Amino acid sequence: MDVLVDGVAQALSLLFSGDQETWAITLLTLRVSLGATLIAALVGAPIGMAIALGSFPGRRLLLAAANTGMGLPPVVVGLVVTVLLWRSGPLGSLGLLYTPTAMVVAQAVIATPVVVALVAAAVQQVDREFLVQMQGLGATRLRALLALAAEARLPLLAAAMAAFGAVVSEVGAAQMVGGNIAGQTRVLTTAAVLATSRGEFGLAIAFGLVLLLLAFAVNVVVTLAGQR
Amino acid sequence: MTSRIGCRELRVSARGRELLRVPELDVAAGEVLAVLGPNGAGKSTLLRALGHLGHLHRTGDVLLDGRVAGPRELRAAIAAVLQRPILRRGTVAGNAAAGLRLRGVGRAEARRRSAPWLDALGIGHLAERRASTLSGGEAQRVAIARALAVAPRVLLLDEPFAGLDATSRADLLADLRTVLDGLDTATVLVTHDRHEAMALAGRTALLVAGRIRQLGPTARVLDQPVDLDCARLVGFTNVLPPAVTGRPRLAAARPEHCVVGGDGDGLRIPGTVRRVVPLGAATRVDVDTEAGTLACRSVDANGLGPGAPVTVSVPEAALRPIPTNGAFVAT
Amino acid sequence: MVLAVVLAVAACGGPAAGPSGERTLILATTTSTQDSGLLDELLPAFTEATGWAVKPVAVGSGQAIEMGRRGEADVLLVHSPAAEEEYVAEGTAGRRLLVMHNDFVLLGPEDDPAGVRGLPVDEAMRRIAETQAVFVSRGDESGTHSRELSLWEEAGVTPGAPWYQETGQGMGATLRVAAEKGGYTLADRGTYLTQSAGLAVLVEGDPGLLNVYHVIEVTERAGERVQPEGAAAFADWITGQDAQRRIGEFGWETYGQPLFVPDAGKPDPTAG
Repeated sequence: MDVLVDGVAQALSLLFSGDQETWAITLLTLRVSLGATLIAALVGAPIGMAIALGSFPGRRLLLAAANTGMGLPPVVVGLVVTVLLWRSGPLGSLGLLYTPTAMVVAQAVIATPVVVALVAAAVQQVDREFLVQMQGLGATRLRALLALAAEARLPLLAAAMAAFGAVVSEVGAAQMVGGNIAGQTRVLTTAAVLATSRGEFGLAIAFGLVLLLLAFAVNVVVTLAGQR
Repeated sequence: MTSRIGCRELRVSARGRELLRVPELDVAAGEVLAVLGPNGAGKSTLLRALGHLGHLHRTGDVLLDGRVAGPRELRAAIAAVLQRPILRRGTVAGNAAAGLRLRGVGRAEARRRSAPWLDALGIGHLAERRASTLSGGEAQRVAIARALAVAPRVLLLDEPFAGLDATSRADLLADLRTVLDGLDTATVLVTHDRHEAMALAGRTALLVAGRIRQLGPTARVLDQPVDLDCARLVGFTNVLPPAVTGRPRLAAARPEHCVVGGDGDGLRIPGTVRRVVPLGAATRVDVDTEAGTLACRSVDANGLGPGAPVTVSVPEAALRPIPTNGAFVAT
Repeated sequence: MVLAVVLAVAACGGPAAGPSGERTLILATTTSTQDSGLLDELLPAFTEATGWAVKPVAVGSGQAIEMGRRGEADVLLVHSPAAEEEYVAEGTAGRRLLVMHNDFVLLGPEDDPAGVRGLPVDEAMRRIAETQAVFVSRGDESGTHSRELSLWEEAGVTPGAPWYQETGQGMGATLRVAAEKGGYTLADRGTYLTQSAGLAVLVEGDPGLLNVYHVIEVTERAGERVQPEGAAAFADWITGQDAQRRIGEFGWETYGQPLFVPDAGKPDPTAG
């Protein structure tokens, strides 16, 4: 119990004393996970919309695949990305292993099925005839789709937040493709695991609390923007 | 007539089946054309094909002001109101302005241009209400205001009164009539109710199984059907074959003109009562006759029960001869 | 899809590219080395001295050597002599140099139910097996695990369930499990000093308990992207005077004793 109290105390002191290392780790966590969520949104949202609105063969299989993909263990994704990026792998010449870029890639892979499945669900909630009615008022295809997105913006935002939540809290992929290198690829989750293995429980809990605060802050900003 | 919108050899098919085929149709500026037909006749399909809406497999041409028009031109010229009012989140005023906004008009100007239409449709006082709190009738008025606000050259209305209660319907009919009078817009109104056609449309087309069977001034189309399907469609549901009438041709009459127990000249058809249904002001009596079961009106229902022998009388003026070749007649 | 994402990200430079223009080498080492904190002390000095930046990847000895085999790392710092010798015999490695040593200790509960305190290590292991006292192993192919297995072999015992339990985890976690279960375990002194977990040292000082660290260069024979220059720079530096001094001083302040004994240039302490 005192470990928890100690953790809270350490978290507060790390944050407010402006501890360089903690802030650097926090900033990197934010950049990596936000970047991954952004990529997943750009890649996954059109796919999700196509699933919801289209009628191509294999549509339902694709949706099932996305739903299954939401349960992908991050560690497995990390392993696959590692195998692709390491020196003897097909993309080894890029030299991306153990860099934040690789972490963004792995987390984007984790987040994309989440985005696809939840965007498809969000868009399916809107009336089937919505796009036709927008066309009937003179909207171009693009404007009609934007209107659809605006209509479904609350569940779409929820999809983005769910994707962010999934990747900011994962440790398996970040550890494997990032290597948890101090000052370079150490994020809050991998730092917490390292602190735990060193027996520094208070510090580990502190990192956990910082992570929660970070996720909360992001969610607050996004929610406020969406409720406008 | 200068055609505002028209089509030539318009055909729509789905899954190999032909849903609609209209060789020629024109609607003039300022005119309201009603397209009347039973469910599944293809009325909505015709509307969507004219407006290039939805994913239709369509061949043929749609003409705007006499010239073949592509999808972009059509979309700019047309505003549609679908069966269910599909409104967006936000206020009534925001929704009314939505049509203009979707065409790239700025927010302030869109509000300015759409506000008068809310008044014209009697819902100006609801401008700041959330669209989700409206009743069906109110929502439909917003949808119509939204369409009219873009000042369309063609207005497409798909059963706009469906789902409204009688009072709302009557009110909206009246208001819409007022609004459309004096507008330069060519309006195509799809409906399955001939009273709406009577109230709003100068000309009516009868659409059955994807083909236009009859097209002409509304009063004439509704009173002089050219074939059996059209007859039934406009209310002449009692079909009287030559054997019963003693006339050379097939005839039809409206139920309200077939009276049980009435006298007077005209046709007299013996039969037995199948059932008696009191319907408030009048009483409907279904009578089995040689011509099949006829739905009739009763003057005095006392003493009538199933099996009772009665005579149905149909005045001469109520009979309509039906040409049996079913040729398309444009009058 | 991964391919598309990677190319897209690489094309726009990614949100946080690594240090550009600086030479970086990959050092594969063990979790216990990282946990001791020695690398945090040594690596910045190395970078300053040579201009080579280091990406230290801490995994088990087994995995580190495998990385060397595949050319995924440029240089190794490990402490698993048997596996190391096997690797060197394969012919793809460069120099293998002695760096430092510390020792293992046999830990257990203070009340020592199996009565092994002070015994030679092989005798102690036999006692533990006979009494079926709980023994917690790392079971993860690490240097510590390999040493533990060879000790069982020398003692002539084959450990098994239910008293012998493998965590598959790092040293710290294994110590905690041992403490919770009131069992015995083998650990390197460095980790023990930082996380004693309430266990006591029962057997130490035995020659069989020496834990020797070597640095091994990986060559281009293992993979075409290996950087032998960096490997050589690291191997030379860590066996050089400055590094060896730092190694010898590490731990004095915190624990009152050094965690490691620098050995570069000396004969291998386990030989003979």
